[in-house]
Formats: sequence, structure tokens, C-alpha cells
Amino acid sequence: MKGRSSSTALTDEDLRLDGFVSDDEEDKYCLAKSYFDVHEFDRASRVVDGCVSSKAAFLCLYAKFMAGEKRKDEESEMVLGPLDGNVTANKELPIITKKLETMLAEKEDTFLLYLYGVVLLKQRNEKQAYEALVRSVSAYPYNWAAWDELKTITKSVDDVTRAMQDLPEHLITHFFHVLASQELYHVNEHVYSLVDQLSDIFPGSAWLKSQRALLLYHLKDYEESEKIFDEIMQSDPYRLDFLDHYSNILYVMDKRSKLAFVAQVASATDKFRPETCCVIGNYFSMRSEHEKSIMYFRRALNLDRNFLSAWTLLGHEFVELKNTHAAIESYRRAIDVNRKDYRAWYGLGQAYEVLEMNYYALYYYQRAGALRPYDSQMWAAMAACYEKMNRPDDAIKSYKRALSGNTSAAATNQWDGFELNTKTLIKIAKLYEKVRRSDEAVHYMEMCLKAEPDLGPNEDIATAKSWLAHYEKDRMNLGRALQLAQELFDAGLMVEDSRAMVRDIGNQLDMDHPR
Amino acid sequence: MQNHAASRLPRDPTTGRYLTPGKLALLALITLYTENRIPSPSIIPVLTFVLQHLIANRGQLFAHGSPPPTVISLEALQKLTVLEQSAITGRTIYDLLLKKLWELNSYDALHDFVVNLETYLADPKKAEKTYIRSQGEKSLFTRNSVIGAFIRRATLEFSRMPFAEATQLWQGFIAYREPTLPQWKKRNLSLVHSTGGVGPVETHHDKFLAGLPADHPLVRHLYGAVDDMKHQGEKAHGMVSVDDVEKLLEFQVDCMQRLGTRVPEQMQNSLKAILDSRASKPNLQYYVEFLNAWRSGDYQGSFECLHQYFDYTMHTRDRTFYQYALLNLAILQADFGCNRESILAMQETVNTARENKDIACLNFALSWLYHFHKAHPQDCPEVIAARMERESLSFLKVKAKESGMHHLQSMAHLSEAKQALTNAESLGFAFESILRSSHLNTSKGINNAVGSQMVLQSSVWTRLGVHYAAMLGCELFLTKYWKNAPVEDLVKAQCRTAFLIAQKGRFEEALDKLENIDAENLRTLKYYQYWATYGGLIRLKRELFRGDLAAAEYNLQQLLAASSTEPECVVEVQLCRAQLHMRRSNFSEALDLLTTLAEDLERDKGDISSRLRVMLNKAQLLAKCGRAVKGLSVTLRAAAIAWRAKLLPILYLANAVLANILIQLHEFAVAYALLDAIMPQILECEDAHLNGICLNTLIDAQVGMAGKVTDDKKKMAECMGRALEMIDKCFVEYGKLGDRAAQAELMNKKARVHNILENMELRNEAAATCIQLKKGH
Repeated sequence: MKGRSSSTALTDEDLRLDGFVSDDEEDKYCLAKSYFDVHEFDRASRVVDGCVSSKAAFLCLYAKFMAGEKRKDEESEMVLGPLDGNVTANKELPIITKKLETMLAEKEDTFLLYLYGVVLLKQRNEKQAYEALVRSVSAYPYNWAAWDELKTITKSVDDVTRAMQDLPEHLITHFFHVLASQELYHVNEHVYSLVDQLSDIFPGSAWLKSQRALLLYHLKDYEESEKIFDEIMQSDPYRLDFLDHYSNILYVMDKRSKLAFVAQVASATDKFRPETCCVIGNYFSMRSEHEKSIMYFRRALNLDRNFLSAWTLLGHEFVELKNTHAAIESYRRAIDVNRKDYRAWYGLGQAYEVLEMNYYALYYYQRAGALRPYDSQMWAAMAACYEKMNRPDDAIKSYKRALSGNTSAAATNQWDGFELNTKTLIKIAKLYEKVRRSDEAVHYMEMCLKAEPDLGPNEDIATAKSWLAHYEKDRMNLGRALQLAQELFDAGLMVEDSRAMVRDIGNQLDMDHPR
Repeated sequence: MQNHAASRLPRDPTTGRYLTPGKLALLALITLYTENRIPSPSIIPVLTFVLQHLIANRGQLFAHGSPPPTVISLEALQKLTVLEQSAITGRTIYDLLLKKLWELNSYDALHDFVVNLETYLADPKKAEKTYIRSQGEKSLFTRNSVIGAFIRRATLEFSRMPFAEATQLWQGFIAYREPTLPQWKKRNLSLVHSTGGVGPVETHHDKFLAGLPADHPLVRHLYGAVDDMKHQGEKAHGMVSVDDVEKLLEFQVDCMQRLGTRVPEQMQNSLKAILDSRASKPNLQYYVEFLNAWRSGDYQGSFECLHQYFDYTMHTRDRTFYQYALLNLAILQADFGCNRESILAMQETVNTARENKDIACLNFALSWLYHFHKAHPQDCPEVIAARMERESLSFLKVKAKESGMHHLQSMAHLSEAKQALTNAESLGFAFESILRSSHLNTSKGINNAVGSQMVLQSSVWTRLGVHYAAMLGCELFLTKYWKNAPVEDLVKAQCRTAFLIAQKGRFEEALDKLENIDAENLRTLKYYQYWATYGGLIRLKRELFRGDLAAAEYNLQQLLAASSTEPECVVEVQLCRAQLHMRRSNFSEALDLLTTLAEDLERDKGDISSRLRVMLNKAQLLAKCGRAVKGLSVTLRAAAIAWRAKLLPILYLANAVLANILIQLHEFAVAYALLDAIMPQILECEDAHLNGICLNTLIDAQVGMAGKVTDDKKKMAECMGRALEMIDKCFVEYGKLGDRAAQAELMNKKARVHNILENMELRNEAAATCIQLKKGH
């Protein structure tokens, strides 16, 4: 990815900065560029070493950086091998930083700034990196690679809004805004209108279309999202970008054969792209062939260690195989790559929950919830954790939050709306019962009953009815109790229990009003 | 004989593709059967078809020379199923098959299809119970049945496939069924009409591409252009998996090693086309190339290929198979006449095999060395010659029995019999050994040893002078046992039959017989040479008898120039050469030749019958020179040995020579008595030349006897009458051989007899015939 984005940067540079190479350095620059193009980075760097013109100087440092990256990749171990970790580092970084600092002190150059940002980011110096990158894009906004790096720094919606103030008012900035919001699952009217506006300018842009589809995906509007991806695929069959997200959508929609088709298309285009491997891995996962799917995710990671979705999906597969420790490591690596993936956080939480380390789990659920504040799933998981940790008050709060999340999502999505609702309601009611607040409990149980006309009789409603019947019976409100028990019996749910209760209440009624 | 070494060749562990579109179609057919869609009358043809494709590599189902079918073409499936009614009225099995094939409307459907195949297998846990099938239920396969194993293999191979390969299979499958699209459409249109329209029939290859035009970029990207599809359809029909290619190669190796033939050219070409189209070549291919080069007599090529093969397989077979490489090399070298080199290689083989404790290889190498020693004693170093005595054979026998190598044991018995025969030992022993071998062949089902045994048996009968039985043996083998016999035995038997026919004097028939031999059998250089030698020999004999000496000389030169490997042929040719000298009256040269020949045979411990024949030829030569008495002791010795070794035709010849000597000594009555008594047996030999010689001697004896009783006219007339009678018979025998000179001589004798008997008219007639014959009309 780095290589590609850098070469686009260079071509842009070629177009605009022709005069930026002095005549005596022209030959050297050409030679170095040729070496660079055939991936002989060290050689390229040596050729233009000491050049002063900005183009050659950039190439010198950039080639050095790439050489370091290459060596780093070569030194790192097999994916998830015993020695695999983030220990290996690009050893050229300190030298490059030093040189850059001296050069930037003399003269500010947009590409050197970009490189400075990249290097700083690699050294986890995010604040300075942010400044450098902002300066770089302000000077020359058409370097998308710089925007890409900038994107990794913005870790929350607040970051984005702050950044928008620092950034220049430019067309590309809007693109950046769309991307950043999308990655943060931050969907609102403003982002939508931005996408619409941009689409008016670039009606054929597949990138914009896929952003729109991803936004819809975050809103759980899978059908619409699928439609858009279909269009993209038909108009540009050789495009692989974001296909892994498309495969996730199909996975969630349970469309296995369509997923197979997408995998086929991807595989026909390029077998060795991480996107392709992810799609195929998803397909095998759906066929419950988890070993194979792990193989493909691993391949994706071998191709690009920073490929986020592969790490997360690999974690999911390990969970399926009950290899919790491997799953935890995979999720952790996903988070290390990109801290914005709520699925990885959530997965970590789940894994720790399986290991009954609830406090840990809670922390990760909270992180996930922070990323998806309106996702009831996160809140429900969090509540379950509280429940297990015997903190009913917090659990009730979380469940309530989950409910509210649901109601907001219910309009667009029928997936887990009511069903989860009833379950949550019963959980809340039972928790209230536990803290001896029967009135609240009754309230929530009654709420649960209200869902009956929509859902029909189901287990949760039966539980609620049975609970209520017992409650009413204890309060000697026998008429209501009998009615509920009878309803329960007629629906054929909890037959034994309800029959016994009907008989019991009948007896009591007889005793109270002897004939 | 090489097959033992070859049967040890391990399969290359190439992880190639197993599944082909054709195999998928076959699986679809099997599922139809399982779902009870095939009514009882059609089950047998369908299952036969299926099995033919599954167990083709066992080789048993297929006649000699026809390759196993690798490609399961839709045409073949259509031909099989289009006329068979299915269990659903109005639909043929073919319709159902098409439905099955077109139901696979996406890659995922294909995946499902293959994965679901497991459900057609009986659960091993339930297998204990007797399974009673109820109506409409699937009939399941047990896991270890042929089809069950096929299904399991297919699913396994599918799950082993990387995704990209699986999609390639899917694309191949689409191309494969593409030609049936019109049929499927037609069939389903009618279905639509009859049921009142079920909506548009889905005809596109992939349901996700439905509605897109055929030249849509996405369609093109996935399945190529429409024209390409047609082209690919043809290609997909020829699509073979690595497994299939290996099967083909194994079949070739089997053909070449077990039967010793080369594969027909047409098949070679088609195989080459298949191999060329693939990136990865199975290593076995080099072995096939080696065998091919070897059989066609390409010395350098075969060496190159053999080394190539062993180099490529080194990593998979280790040094443990070094001895097999050496074995092959030794045999190869021997075949190209580098005898000493070959012996050295074989010794190395023996040593390596000993080191590695590979008994099978060791035994085979020893047996080969033994035979080689027999065939080329002059090339064997002393060490080996000493080792190769009788003991080695019995050792071999015991070892073969111990390690259960029945084929080798049977061969050892035959060798024993052969040795007994050549060394003039007990005939009973020889018979016993042959019987043992025969018993082994029958009880252990060793099909390819039957030939050698029967040919040997036939040669025993020839030695006993029972010509008819000898012929019968060869004929029996050629008509009843030819199927699994090595080509070597076939050619030998045919040559022997021709030779026996030629002995009767029916040269043309013999040559015809040789001409009619299957050209396939002569594809191997060695056998071609063998066959050509026999043809030349028969022609040479014919020309000798006919007195066409120039042609005979020409033929002889050809035979001498060819390095014929068979010792028996060498002796035969040399004897003919001596005959030619005699006919040309180069008696001293003939004598020299015979003397050296006798010495050679003595040195090499050659076949006793050849040695006796040389001795008798010498005696005959002396008789020709008018010094018959000088040959007396030789003749007597030959007769004694022939009697002991029960070499009856030679014994008879010895008697004839002896009688001739007696005639020279004016012991006419004794000579007559000697021959007359054994005349019936002599006639049984059906050897025209022998008959001629004997009758001629009898004539001389009678005439001599008549000369002794000149005073008793009646007795003399009686003798003369007998002589005349025999002259006529003898004339016929020589007539068979076309020996005009001998016939003229007979007429001369006849004329003289008539002269003595004062039958002038008859005398003149005979004299005229004599002159005519001499003129050559």
C-alpha cells in the first residue's frame, strides 16, 4: 500500500514540480528514480545522496524509508508465529528524522513534510505528526497519501471536528471528512449531504459510491448497501477495493452463494490481494470451514500486515474454533493497527467473557460502546458483564441504554429489534426483582407483554406472563392470574407449569367462594 | 521380465488435480442412481459405464492395447443415457442428468453439491445393521465400495483445492456443459408449455449474472467471451487431471513393461498433446520416454531419459531405489550389446540390493545374470561364470520361494528344465520342472509366464520328434493365452510355428505366417530383429534347397551382418553356411567352419542338440567327400548321446548317416534293417529333409541288396521294386523342399534301376525327367 501511494505521489510530483530538479542533478535523479521503480531502494537512495534540489532530496529519504520498511518486513516473523509481534522497527527512522529536521529548518517543502509526518507517526509521535501532515496538505492538498496518514491520527469524532478547523477549505478536505467519518461510524445528515454534493461533482466515482455503501452498512441498511456494491461491481469488475467490506455485508445477510460469486470475481482478478483473501476467508467461514478460512486470512496478513479486517476476522475464526488465546491476540493486533474497529474491541470483550475475566471484558465492551454509542449490542454485552459482576444497578442502566439504542435503530432495521427488546425487558425486570423493586419489575414485564401483538407468542413473552401470573397470584389478584395462566396454557407454552397454576388458582378460587 | 523391477516403482506424490468437469458429470449420474431415478433395466449399463471410468487403471477391463478412457465426454454420457427411460415417466435419464447439471447455477451450488455427496455414503456406525431401503429413500453406498471410495476421494480432493483452483474447476464445468444449453432449453421450453408456464427458464450459467448481456464486462471478466466459451468447451472436454495423466502414463508403462510393446503412435501423440498443455509434468513421463526410446532402439535417448527420470525422482525415492536405477541401466546396456558394461552394472545392482536387503531386486538381478550368462557365456568374467553354475539356480529357486516371488520361481523351474535339456540330462527331470512351473502358473494365476512354459514344452516335443504335439503347443498358446502374454513370448511362439512349418517343406506357408504377425508386436526393435532373423533363416533354407545359391549367399550375408542375439539362430545360420559351402563343393571350407563351430559350442557349453547336429553334419560332409567311414566314430558317438538325451530326430539322422556308412561298407542288409525299423517314427517327425535323407539311404540299401543277389532274378526284382517305390516317395519329399538337384539324382537312379530291369520305356521317361530337372524346368 505504501509503495503504491508513494508512487502516485511521485507522479503527481512529476506533473507539477518539473522545475524542481536542477539540471546538474537531473541525470542522478533519473537514475535514482529508475532504481526506485525496480525496488532497489538502497541503491536509489545512495545515488541521490547529497542532492539539494527538493525532488531529489525527497527521493533520497523516501527510498531510505522504503528500504527500512522492506528490511523490517523481512525481519518480522510468520503471522502469529511465536516471535511475531511489533518488536521489529524500521531502523532507518532516526537517521531520516534527523536529516528531515535539518532540511525542514532551512526550507519548508510539502513532500518532505509529508515524509516527516509519516516518520513521526511510525515513531508514535502523533501530535507532531499531525502538525506536519496538516502543514503538508495545506501547502499541497492533492497528496492523498498525506490525507491517508492524517486519517489514522484522527481517533474520535472530536478529533475530526478539530481537524476540520485546522485544515484548509478545499475539495479534498471534504473527501477526507467523508472517509474519516465513515471510519469512525459517525453517520449524520452532514456527512450524507457531503457525499451527495461530492457525487454531483464526481458522478462516476466508485470510491464515493463505496463510501456511501459503507455508511449505509454502518446504519445496518444492508440491502441498499449491497445494491450499491452490485452496481460498482458491474461497472468496474476489476475493482477490488472495499470488497472485503462487501463480503462482510453479505456474511451478515447470510447470502452465501452471492458471497461465493464475489469471491470468484475477486479471485479471478487477483488471487494475491488481501481483499481477495478476506473475501474467500469469509466465504469459507460461512461454510463453517474455519481452518481454511484462517488460512486465507493469514495469507491476507502475509500480504499486508496492516490489513485491519483480516486481523479482526481472524479473531472471529479463532473464537469459532474455541482458540480463545489466539483470538485475543488477533483482536489485539487489529486494535494495534487501527483503534477504530469496534468489532475488534467487542471481540476482545467476548473472548475475555468466555474466559470469565469479566472486568477485562467490561473494559473492552466499554471501548466498543464508545465507538458505537447507539449500538444496543454493545450495551447489552456490557450489561451482561455488570450482571455477572453483581452490579445490578449498572446493569439496569446499561440495559436501558441498550433499549434506547434499539428504538432509535428500530426504524431502519428489523433485525434484532423487538426480539432483543423483549429479552432486554425481561432482563431488566428480573434485575429489578433482584434489587426488590417489584413495581419497576412489573412495569417492565407489562412492557414486554405489549410486544405480543407484533411478535406473537414466544418464549420471552411466556416467561413474562408466567412471572406476572405468579406475581398476581401472590398478590391474590386471582382473576388476572387465572387469565394469564389460561392464555399461557392455550398458547401451548410452558404447558406443565401453566396447567398446574390454572388448577392451583382454580382451587383457591373454589376455596374463597365455596358453592 | 523387467516388470518386477517396475512394479516396485512408487507413485509420485504429486498433488495434482483430481476432479475434472467430466468427473463431476459422472458424480451427477451417480447421485441419480442413488436417488433411485434409474429404473432397474438401465442400472447395469449405467453402472458399467461408471465403473469403467473408475477402475480403468487396473487394466483388467481393457483389452490389450486400448488405453483407459480418461476423458468422460458429454457425448458418451448422452449416448449412454439418452435412450434410457428414467423412473419419471416421459423423461429420459439424460434429461434428469441435464437437470442435475444445470441446477448447479453458481459456484456455491457446486460447492454444496460436492459437500453433500457425503450424505450418499452409509454411516459406518449404522452399517452393522442390515439396511432395508424404504420407498423413495436414497440407496447409500458403503464407504469402501468402489463408488463410495470415488465419492470420498472426490470430496476430499475438492476440500483440498485452494479457492482459485476450485473456481477454475467451476469455469471448466461451465464450459463443459455449455454445448448442452440448446437441448436443455428445448426440453424445458416444452416443460413450460405443458405446465402452463412457470416463468422464464433460467438458462444463464451463473445466476448472479442473469440479466446481464453476454458481452458485459463482468461476464467477460469471469467467463471470457462467448466465442471463447465455445472454444473452452472443446478444451474442457479434453480437460484431464494430473491423476488422469498419471493413469495414462501408468498404463503405458504397464504396456511396455509387462508386454514389452510400444504404445501405438496415435496414442503417443494424444498423450503428448495432453502433457504439452500442462505446466507440471509428472515424473513418470520421463520413464515412459525412456521406455519408448529403449524399445525403438534409440540408445542415447534412452540413457538420457533414464537419468532424467531418476534425477527428478531422487528426492522422493531416496537412495533406496538406486538398485532399480542400476538394474534398468544394466538391462538397457545389455539390450544395446554392451555386454561387459552391463555385467558390471548388474554386479553393482546385486551389491546394492544386498546392502539394502532388497530381496526382490536381488533375486531378479541374480536371475537376470543367470540368463545372461547362459546367453553370452563368452562375455562373462570367470567369477560370474563360476557362480552361475547349477547351485545358483537352486539358490534362486529357494530364495524366490521364500520371498514369495512366484513368477521368478516359475521361471527358475523353467530354466532348470532348459538346463537339463541342453546338458543332455534326464528328460523326466525336465518334464517334472516344466510341470512344477505349470502348477505354479495355474495355482498362483501367473498369466504372463504361461507363454514361456508352453514354448519350452513345445521345444521338448520337438526334441522328442513329436512334431504334431510341438505345433499344437504353440498354436494353443497363440490362440488361448495371448492376451496377457509378453510380446516376446508371442513373437517366439510365432517364429517357432513358422519354423516347424518350414521343416515340413512348406516354406511359403511359413513365410506367410511370419508376414501375418501383428505389426504392433514388432514395434520393439529387439523383437523385430528376432522376427527378421527367423524370416531370413527360412528363406535361406528355401533357397539352399532350391539350389538358388546366389540368393542364398545374399541372404546369408544379411543374416551374418545382423547381430542376432539368439544362440540357436547363430548355430542354425552357421549350419546353413556350411551347407552352402557343401553345395558349392567347397568341402574344406565347410569342414573348417564346422570344426570351429564345434569348438565354440564346446567352449560355451552350448546346447547338446546343436553340438550333435554339427557332429552329424561333419559325418555327412565326410560321406559327401567319399570318405564316409572316417565319420563312423563321430556318428556312433552322436547316436549314443542322442539316445541318452532322447533327442530323437537327431538320433534318426545319426542312424541314417550310420546306415549310409554301412552302405559304403557294403553292409546293405544291415543298413536297411537299421533304418527300416525306425521309419514310422522318422515319418512322425514330419521333417521333409530327414525323410528325404532316410529314404535315399534306404534306396541305396535296396539297390545294394539287389546287387548282392544278381543270380536270383526274382529276389533282385523284388528289391528293385521296393527301391522304385521308395524312389517315388523320396521324390515327393524332395519335391516338397523344392530340391531339384536331389530330385534329378533320384530320377537318375530310377533310370538306372529301370535299365537294370530292362524297362526301356520307363527308363527313357525317367531319363527325360532327369534332364528336364537338371535344366531347371
